[in-house]
Amino acid sequence: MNYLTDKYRKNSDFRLAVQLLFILVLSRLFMLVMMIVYNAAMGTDHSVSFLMNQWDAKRYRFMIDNGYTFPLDTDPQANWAFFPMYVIVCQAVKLLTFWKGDTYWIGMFVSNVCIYIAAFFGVKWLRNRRENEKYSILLGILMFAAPYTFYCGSAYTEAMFIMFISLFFYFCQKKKYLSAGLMSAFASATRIVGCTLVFALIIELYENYKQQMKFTEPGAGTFFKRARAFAVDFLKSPEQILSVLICPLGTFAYMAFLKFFCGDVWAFMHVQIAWREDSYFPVIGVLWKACTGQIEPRYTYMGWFCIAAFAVYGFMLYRKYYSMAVFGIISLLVPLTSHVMSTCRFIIGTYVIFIGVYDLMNNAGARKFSGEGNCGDAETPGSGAVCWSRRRKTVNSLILAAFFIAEGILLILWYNSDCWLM
Amino acid sequence: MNINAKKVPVQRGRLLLYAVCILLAVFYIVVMWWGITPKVGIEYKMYYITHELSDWPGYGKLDYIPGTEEIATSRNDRDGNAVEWQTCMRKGQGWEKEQYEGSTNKGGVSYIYYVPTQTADNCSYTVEIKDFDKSKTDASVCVYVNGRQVGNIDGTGAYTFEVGNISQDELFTVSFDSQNCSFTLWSACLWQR
Repeated sequence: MNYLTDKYRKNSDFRLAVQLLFILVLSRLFMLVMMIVYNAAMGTDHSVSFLMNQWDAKRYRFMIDNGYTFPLDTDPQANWAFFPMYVIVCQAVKLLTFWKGDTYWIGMFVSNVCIYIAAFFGVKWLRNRRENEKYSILLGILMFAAPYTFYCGSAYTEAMFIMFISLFFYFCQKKKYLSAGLMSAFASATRIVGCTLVFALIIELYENYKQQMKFTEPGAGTFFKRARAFAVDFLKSPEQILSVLICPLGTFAYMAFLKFFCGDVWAFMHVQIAWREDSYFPVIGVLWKACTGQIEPRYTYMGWFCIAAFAVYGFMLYRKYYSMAVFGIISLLVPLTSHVMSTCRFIIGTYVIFIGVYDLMNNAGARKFSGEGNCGDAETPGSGAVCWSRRRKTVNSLILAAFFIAEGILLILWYNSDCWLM
Repeated sequence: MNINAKKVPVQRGRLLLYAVCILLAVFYIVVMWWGITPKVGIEYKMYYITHELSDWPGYGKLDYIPGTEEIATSRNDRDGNAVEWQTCMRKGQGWEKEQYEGSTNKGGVSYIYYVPTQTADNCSYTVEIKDFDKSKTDASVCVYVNGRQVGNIDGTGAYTFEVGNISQDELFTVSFDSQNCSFTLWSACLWQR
């Protein structure tokens, strides 16, 4: 026990791991409490695995148990729309239980482990970025308990996808670009938008090159000159080329599998017609139709949710989270080419929104108040910063409380398979 | 001497990385090539890729044994129960989604596709029209078989069209080009006289 106490005190990683585990357990207990509330209110007696695993989770369960299958004559929604990484990992875990474990519980276990790892490396990334990140644990709270994070506790791919993205940015920060590329490859085997991490990687490489070459100094040349110099340097480095080339490997490997499975490498994309036939003018037309209430009210809400996400990404650009913001924007543009359906889940599932919201909560306006000022005591130097810190704590507490309430409501909707989540 | 000795493995490592890059690039090109040359069945191609089919018939289910009468409703009735008759799951674009009482055209051209399982001469195509709504007096529906006009529909009832020969495994397309009207198709049958 003393050993653990000592380790907790001295080892910051261990301390972080314990703190995050505590928050994760609390958030899952909250989900359990909401289940009891739901069952009591509805007069039902549904199990944890039943309530936590709606819609696509049922498809993942089938795929974990049976692998990919051809569509039935009565249902063209073929399961090859779903990427294989999560299924493969769950199958591996199920194999460890000699194929005896309950598939839903295995899926939930994998998801919870993934989101835990993601939060751990996310917080470490924040602490490496700025030394004085006192409230970095807030990121963990957001990742475990913010609205829509319940997907990360169910048999959905969100948690695993978030983990690979979190690791991707962590390795980029450590300048281990090949490892980052590998994480992108895994992400692209989890969901198609994982491929777009390649743009984030190129930005990270360029930022690193700019830093090394001191391009920020005056007279360093135009953007095109810098870009050309970067391209030449890039081509001279086979490791960097490989890092970029490896990014979409997961998707291409899946496409190669589909070639031999059903003869069409684009089957995962072509099968989308079985879900939706709507074809609007991409992105702007989709958002316009949604936000102006031309389609169902839930899509109006989702349209405005997308606008809010774009605003957060804009703020992230302003705060110089270039690679993350670009990844967030591109990964949201991809689904918006057809519909706003499920975009809330997609936005949460790209991880970077947590960083944006964290930064908004923790640092927005900090500079304004960081100097001297007054908070009732004009004579004391630096009291403005103290006052800001206090205000921030209060505001953050209120925001978190609002998030918990929203998550609670969403959980009830989730347990009830409500169409507002679709 | 030592410096040179160190350089050789570094250069080899670089070459190896370039080789892996080339391999990856070749793999991606091959996969993209497969992407433009899909090897799929006609049902898959027409439903998932070209979207010519609005119903998913199932693999190999566009095949048609001449003489089979098919009813143009959905597989299930309004209550979700499976219907007793053989449904026509070979409809293309141009039909309304709700098909509980037969298939109503959307306006413009509506399609039905067949892949006959045998070659036959002197074939006929019979359709039964349940509802026919005219918005103008000159309303009519021109019926085409593989692009050749074989007749018209101008009201409710059964219509038979002579369509000539059909060939085994060759796509047989029936199109209904409606002018100023909507109609509800109840049944269709391609048969040898």
